[in-house]
Amino acid sequence: MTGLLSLVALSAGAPPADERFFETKVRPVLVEKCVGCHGDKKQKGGLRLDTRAGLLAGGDGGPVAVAGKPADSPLVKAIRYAGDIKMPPDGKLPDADIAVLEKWVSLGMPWPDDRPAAGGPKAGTAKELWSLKPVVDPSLPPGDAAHPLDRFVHAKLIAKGLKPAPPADRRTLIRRVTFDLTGLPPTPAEVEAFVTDPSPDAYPKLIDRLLASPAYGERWGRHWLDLARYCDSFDARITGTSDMDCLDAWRYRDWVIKAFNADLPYDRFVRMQVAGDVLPLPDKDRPDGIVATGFLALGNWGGGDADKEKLLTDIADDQVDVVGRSILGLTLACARCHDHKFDPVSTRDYYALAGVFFSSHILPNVGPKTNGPPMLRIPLGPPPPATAKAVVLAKRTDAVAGKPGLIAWQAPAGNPSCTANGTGAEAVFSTIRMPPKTVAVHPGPGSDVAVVWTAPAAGEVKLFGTLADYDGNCGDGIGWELRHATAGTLKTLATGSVENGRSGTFGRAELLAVAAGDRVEVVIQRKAGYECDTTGVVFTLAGRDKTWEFAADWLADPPAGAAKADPWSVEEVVVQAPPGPSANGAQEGGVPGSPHEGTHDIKVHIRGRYDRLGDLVPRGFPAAVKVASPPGITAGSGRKELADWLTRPDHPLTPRVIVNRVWQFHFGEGLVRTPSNFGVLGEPPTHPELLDHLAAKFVRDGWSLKKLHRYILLSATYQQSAAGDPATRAADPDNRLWGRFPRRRLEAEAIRDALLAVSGELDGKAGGPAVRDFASPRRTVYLMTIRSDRTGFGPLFDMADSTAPVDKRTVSTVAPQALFLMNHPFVRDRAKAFAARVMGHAGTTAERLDFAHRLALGRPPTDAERELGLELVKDGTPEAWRGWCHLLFQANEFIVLE
Amino acid sequence: MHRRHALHTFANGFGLLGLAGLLADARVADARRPITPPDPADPLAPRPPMYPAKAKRVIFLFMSGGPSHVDLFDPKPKLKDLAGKPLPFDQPKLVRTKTVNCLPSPWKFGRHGRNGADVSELFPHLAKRADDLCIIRGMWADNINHNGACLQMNTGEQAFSRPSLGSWLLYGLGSENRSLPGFVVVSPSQPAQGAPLWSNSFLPAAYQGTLVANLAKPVENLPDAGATAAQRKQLDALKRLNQLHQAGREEDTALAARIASYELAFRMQAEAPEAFGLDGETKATKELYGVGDGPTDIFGRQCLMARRLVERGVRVVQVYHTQTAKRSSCQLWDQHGSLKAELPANCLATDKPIAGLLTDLKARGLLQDTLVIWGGEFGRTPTGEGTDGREHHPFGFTMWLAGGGVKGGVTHGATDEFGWHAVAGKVHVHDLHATVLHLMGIDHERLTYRHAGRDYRLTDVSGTVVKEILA
Repeated sequence: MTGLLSLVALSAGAPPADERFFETKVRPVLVEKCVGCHGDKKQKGGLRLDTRAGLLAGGDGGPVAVAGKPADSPLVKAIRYAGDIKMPPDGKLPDADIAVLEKWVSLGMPWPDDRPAAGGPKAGTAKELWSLKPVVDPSLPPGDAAHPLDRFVHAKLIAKGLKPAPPADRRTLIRRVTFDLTGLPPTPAEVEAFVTDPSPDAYPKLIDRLLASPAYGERWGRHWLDLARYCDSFDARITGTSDMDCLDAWRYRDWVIKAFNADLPYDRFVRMQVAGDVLPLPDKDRPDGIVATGFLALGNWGGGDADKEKLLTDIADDQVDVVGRSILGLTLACARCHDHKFDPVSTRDYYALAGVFFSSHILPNVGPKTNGPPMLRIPLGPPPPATAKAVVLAKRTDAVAGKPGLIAWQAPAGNPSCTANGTGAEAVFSTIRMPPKTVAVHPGPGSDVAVVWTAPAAGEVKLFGTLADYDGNCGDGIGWELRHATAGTLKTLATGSVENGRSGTFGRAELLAVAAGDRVEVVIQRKAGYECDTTGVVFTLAGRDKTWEFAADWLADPPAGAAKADPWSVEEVVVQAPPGPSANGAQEGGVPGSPHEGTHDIKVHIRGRYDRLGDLVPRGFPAAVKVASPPGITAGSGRKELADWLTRPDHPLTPRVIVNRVWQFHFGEGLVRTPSNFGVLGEPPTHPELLDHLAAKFVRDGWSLKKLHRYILLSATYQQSAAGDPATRAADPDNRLWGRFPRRRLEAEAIRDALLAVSGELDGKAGGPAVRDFASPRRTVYLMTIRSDRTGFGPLFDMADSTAPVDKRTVSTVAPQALFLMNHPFVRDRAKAFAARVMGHAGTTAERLDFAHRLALGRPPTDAERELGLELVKDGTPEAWRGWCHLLFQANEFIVLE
Repeated sequence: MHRRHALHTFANGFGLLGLAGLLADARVADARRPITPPDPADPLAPRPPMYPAKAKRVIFLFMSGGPSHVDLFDPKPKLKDLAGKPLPFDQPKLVRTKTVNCLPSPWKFGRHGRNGADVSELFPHLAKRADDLCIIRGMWADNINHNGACLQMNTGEQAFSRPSLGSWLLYGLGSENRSLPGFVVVSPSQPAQGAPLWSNSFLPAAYQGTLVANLAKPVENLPDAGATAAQRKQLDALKRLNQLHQAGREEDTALAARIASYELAFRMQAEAPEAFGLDGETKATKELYGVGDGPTDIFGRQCLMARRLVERGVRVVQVYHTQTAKRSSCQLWDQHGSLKAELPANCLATDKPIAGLLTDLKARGLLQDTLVIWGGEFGRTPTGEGTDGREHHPFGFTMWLAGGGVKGGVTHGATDEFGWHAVAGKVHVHDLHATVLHLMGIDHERLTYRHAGRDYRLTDVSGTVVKEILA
């Protein structure tokens, strides 16, 4: 069933006679014979026959019925058993039923309404879905609360006859808001200053101080990094050593933290991540624009795949998914294979958006079939000047791959290298085929390689030769440079390149004058990847009396040790200056050298398969999400226009989604409790008017997150105690009415950072490449996260799994967490440092216990606690104090925020 | 309500857990039931399957890298006739490097067991267990690289994050021992891309695989000196401190759960080393697995640990072969070259431990309801990569099952006469997953989890139970 015309659109509402015909004749056949396999439960062949929409959409192979043309309709052919496809498969329909369906098709398939033929959920429409309606700033509910936010909350509580919780005490409040905004505990001095400050603006001042602290960005930036599926390395096997890894990811992390600290307006924050490389930015911000697009580059799309078309499709899918879920709160990726079953998103919408990403690239090339692709590393400034230094290849191996006569010389790291096939036969090894009597060189991961001739005497020589890639199975070809080094100068004579698996000639028509000791170098240069660049070199220098031929001379007398045989040498060419800063990110145009190079629209991939293509879809944005005069894509990939569309002030989703997230990180749950799914299957908001109130205010305030924090934190709702009113708690156990502050466990980062802060060891240094040493005193946000590794502290305490966007961390309570806090050397060492700090505090034992409590828990001990402490530290030894301090680290109160 | 109930069992420790397991089994009704949703407060509590299950636990022996079917279980005399000559048909479009000429197996095959199963001479011990094996020779998969293929074999998906087979089983059934992790992955070196292979993905974190990488120290964060009296005293004081904090917060079950988790941790300190350690095993048992003998020591330890864990009610144990006495590799069975040297070394390292595991499970009455799975992410080309290597090959390859509910002494399906395409009794990875779930009493179409707007399954939108191999 392929290659059919599209259907004629049907007008809704059929005439009464048709309705009767459908209801009495057609629907019973469909229900009885068809929808069992083509209905809401199963959709064999991607086809649904329980709704008109399903019929119109057709199946995997395209439309199944052409209005008015039964002869052209695969459905009719199938029920007649006239083609390859025979339906129903378990027996032909009675002739009368066949006649009914044929007649129905010739009538144009009238279907009186779009009610499913056999029940089942009704697909959501844009008209019904609350989140797609425009944000309307509601009028405030009546009430006596001073803060507008509280009016919304109180109105619902009062309507249920319930009341909010009393305010939390000041010690609790400063601990709450300090952890909330900075991920760190308040110091005893900060607590005392706040508790004893009688001024009415003590609390607003506290909020401003915390929002101005660099620790704020480290805390809130991490929330965003969860949504951006951020990791510092894709795979422990290549961490920090391969350009297949996201070597520059940390710059994106630092940019996110910086953006939060600078209160970069959220609309700009989004625009930068989607299209920072193409936005008109001032020169000083251009590197940031590139770094920000790391958001699109750090996806999880399965790395090494020989199927490069699938790889490109998966990358675009990851990007649609992360933009959809993290920014729009829509599960767009559902529409990769079929129209979204619940939300008004079609496969056309999906491929309209996917086209934007297919027209962008995060890879320099698709990589060899035998391995994953390298990541694009976009230079953030002009490259530093390159100087060259030659290093001799010193390690000789005889009988490579067990073949006598096949000799290799290698740099200590393995490559660059030189291989000589002195045998009379072709040498086939690894993925390489070397003809008999040839010599090949291979560049290294961080360096090129050169064949060098050193002039034994002054004279004139003619230069010519050929270069051949002996490893056409993989790799991306090479570049070359012919140059002449003479007393302190290095002159390029010619340059060129050789495509993967091909060969090319080089040379120079005129004679070259050389002095004794001059060097003539043929440098073989890596392209994006250095792998599979085994390059055969035939290099001839013809002088007046003598001719030197590299391969022949070399094979006649292979150097015994290092790769040097008078006058020839093979040398590693190292670029000494470190490479300039670069970023993993996105650039315009599909992946160079791939079928998607350049900018273009994409065809629908039927059932998500790139080998089954449907209609070409112009690039654009989901039709059901309305903004006034949406931008049209006229040039470029469309990312710039996507960035514009996402951040229009009248966008129904972007502002709602982010204010809901901010609410969620303050209160543990969002007003919408499915924060990345504002679709039909998501939960509706507990307080829709409040959500819109916040969204409207947020946009009016210039998309400022810090203003939003301040607004929420100043509400009485945020300042409530965690205990709450018993009646309210009983009536609302899930806290959907927000009648108390939800007690919750600290996140992994806050736990580890608090250990360091309390022990007095925290190193507040910001930014830079990820730190591998878990014992480091740096903040946890700077510790390395490796996607392939889910062992250790972070995952144990529910740190986000970077394989997909995480909008809400799970909170698990398992015994291995207790084992960690009981026995891990990191915790024990912090307890030791904490104890030393306490013992260094002048005073009596009771005063020291008091100090320890204030450090760890922000309050003095109760009498009962002091008594317990005195009992445990009575002998006053460092070991006893360490035990007590360790105990405080394990206490519920240490790890719980309220 | 259920939270409190769960805490009760939690606090009462292990005695009750065993009972809960029995009750769960007794509750299996005659009619098929949907899977019982887990209690978020006690996510590992054992739950009844949808219908009576032949298998209660799984040991998945994963030969990371892609073991060569034509050298191990699928003899192809035709390759001898065509040695050094090209395959007489076009290869699929999806290849990594082009291999051309047929490479016959350098090893002999024998016919073993009552039905004469073909097993290579490289597996002399395993050959003696032929009557336990259900050899599936028509396996096929979709991905030709390690990462994608390993991910598919473990999660059903080739590129993105999805819950692994073990996580789905744990989510569906819980575990019979809540003082041990319910899904343990034993791998001395990282296989393929690592954690995504045993990820819970969007399932709750309780269902992730727990990696044991260091065989000498399998459980993290145990005190060097074991549980001491001083530590007990500390914990008692901690309990008092927490109880003081709890006053006025009695309604918060999370606080109580955290107090209980310290008690459980204290017991784990004592019990986990015993469960993971091999000290209690007799010399004869260790010998059976090849423990203590150079080439077989590492994998023997892994297999013996697997038996000890399933014996204690752990639901799923996955054993990756990623280290031998001489090599440590993410893809140990990836013989692009040195086939003649490395394949015998891999077989030597695993043959006796695997045969020992089957023998031991049977002797203890565990094999009948423990499903053992052997295989890798794909097979290898019948054509040579050079003269001593084979490329990746997902188009037709061999895996075997043993124990819990599968027929023994059976060879199911076939590849073509060259060993290239699976042609008869074809079993896709999704079909294998559907079959494993079925054996565990779960209908693969009904074990679903709603995430990001849709219901996900291990088998995505396909998978058919391989009825022919069910006992």
